[in-house]
Amino acid sequence: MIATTAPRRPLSAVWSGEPGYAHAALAVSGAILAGMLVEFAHRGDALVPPSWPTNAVFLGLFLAWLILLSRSDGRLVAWLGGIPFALASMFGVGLLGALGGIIPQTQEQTPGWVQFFGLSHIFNGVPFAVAMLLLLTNLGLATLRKVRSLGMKAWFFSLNHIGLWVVVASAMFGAGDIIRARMILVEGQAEAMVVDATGRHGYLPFGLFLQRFYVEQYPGEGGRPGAPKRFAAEATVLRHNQKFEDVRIEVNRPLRRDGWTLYLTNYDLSPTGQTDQCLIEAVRDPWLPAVYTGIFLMLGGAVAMLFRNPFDSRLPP
Amino acid sequence: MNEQFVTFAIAATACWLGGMLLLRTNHRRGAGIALYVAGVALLAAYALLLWRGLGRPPMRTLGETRLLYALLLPAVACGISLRWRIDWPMAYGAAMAVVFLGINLVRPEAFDKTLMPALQSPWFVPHVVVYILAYAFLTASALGALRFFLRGEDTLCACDRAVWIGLAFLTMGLLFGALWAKEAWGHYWTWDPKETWAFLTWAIYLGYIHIRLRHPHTRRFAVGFLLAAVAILGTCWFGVNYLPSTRTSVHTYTQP
Repeated sequence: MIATTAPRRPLSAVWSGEPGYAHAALAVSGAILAGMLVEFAHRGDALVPPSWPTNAVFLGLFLAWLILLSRSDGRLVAWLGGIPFALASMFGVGLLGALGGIIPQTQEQTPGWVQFFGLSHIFNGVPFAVAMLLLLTNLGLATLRKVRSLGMKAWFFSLNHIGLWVVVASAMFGAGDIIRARMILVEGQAEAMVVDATGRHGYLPFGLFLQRFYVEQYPGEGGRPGAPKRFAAEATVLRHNQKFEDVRIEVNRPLRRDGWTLYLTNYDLSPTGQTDQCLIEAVRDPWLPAVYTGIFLMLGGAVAMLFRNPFDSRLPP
Repeated sequence: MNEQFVTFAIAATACWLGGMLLLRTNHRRGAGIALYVAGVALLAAYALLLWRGLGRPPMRTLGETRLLYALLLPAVACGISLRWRIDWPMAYGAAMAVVFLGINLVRPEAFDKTLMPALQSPWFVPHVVVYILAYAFLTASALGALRFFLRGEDTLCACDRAVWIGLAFLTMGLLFGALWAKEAWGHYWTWDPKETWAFLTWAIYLGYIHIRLRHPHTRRFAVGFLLAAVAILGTCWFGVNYLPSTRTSVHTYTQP
């Protein structure tokens, strides 16, 4: 038999007094539906992610609210930070995620109503943001309450749960500060201007002079070149009143300078085989250190999981 | 290379079959386990030969991940069997591995030596190995759930433990993937269809352990949940290639 001290809590005992699964399911689905209506009212163009410093203020207020709330011992707070609400909000996020994993997430060839309800951009839409916020509320409350009652004994729980909270919160709130822009480098020319997906222009704090761009190919068949093996851009970083610096940018080896990361994404695939220019993507994500902090907390938690299996203490059947 | 695969696959299958037969006799347990492990070692040797022959890690195509899975699942099953003193995972693990080797026999792939620049990264091997390890543990839990339904045997304890370990590896795989994506594609998470399904797989097993820790007595529900969860895992691994959303994916390396 199973040796366990946990009290018997059947899933079926739903509406019995204490707020539980049914209430959580109702709250989460209601919030998601409301989010869909907002999305529809704005013709599928509702969400503009806030940028610095608004997003930081929102995040600070959200965190303060969670800390304040976690100090209460009320039934409602226990429910909001409890397992039923966790499962309901995870199910909500999962359901929307499944929609986004099936429906093509592109604006092309998509019927109007799909766009209006935000179904062609699930992950940038209001319903998903709402579901994620509910999940963050639950996760934050659960963690704060656990730490408050157990202190340092909750380290294992904290690694995983704080880690996930930090990753999701900083990725969500920081989304508005991410800049992804492109620039085309041509051999023998210098460039500092970048253009983002909406067509806005900007300048990097430095310029790049492309010395040489080259592609190595696998041996092909019938005289045609094979698949690309490696492509690399040899360039010089130009700065005002400073020495030139020779750099190389390759796939999987981006260049990091002054808060920008430059990726070699593609090159001119003209049939003539002329490859004297390449496409660079310049990315700025000031929230990345926060995301990475969360990722490394979670990685620590995952390693710790291998050595602490809570199901191990139960006797085998 | 393909004849070599047939030889190794048949030899490994014979080892597993012989090992299981010896295990059944009950007084040759040691020899049975040794023979079973020899089957795993044979496949590992083949994978290394393939690695050398291709000049790149054999982890790019679906067929190559199936080979890695057929190698790691029996290894994981053997570990579970020894650790928790139950025999059925070894039999189920071997049966599943033979099915996957069989698929590779029926659908042989042209051995393509190319490795696109995005995959040339130190993250490639750890990311894939940790993922297939996770898949081995998680599908082992699904096999346990299947046994629960077929035989009425209470396998849930072993399933829970396997899911816990599988989820740990799945978390690592997911995060390695995110760190790698940042280096290769410029962002750690873009909700590419493969990423979305990887997230869904992670979320459903995360949900499972929360349900199990909270409701240790809801057994039939848990077993049904495990079978539903493995369907999502399968979608992430294979099914994604057939979904309409995937026409925009940057993550499918299966079609050369």
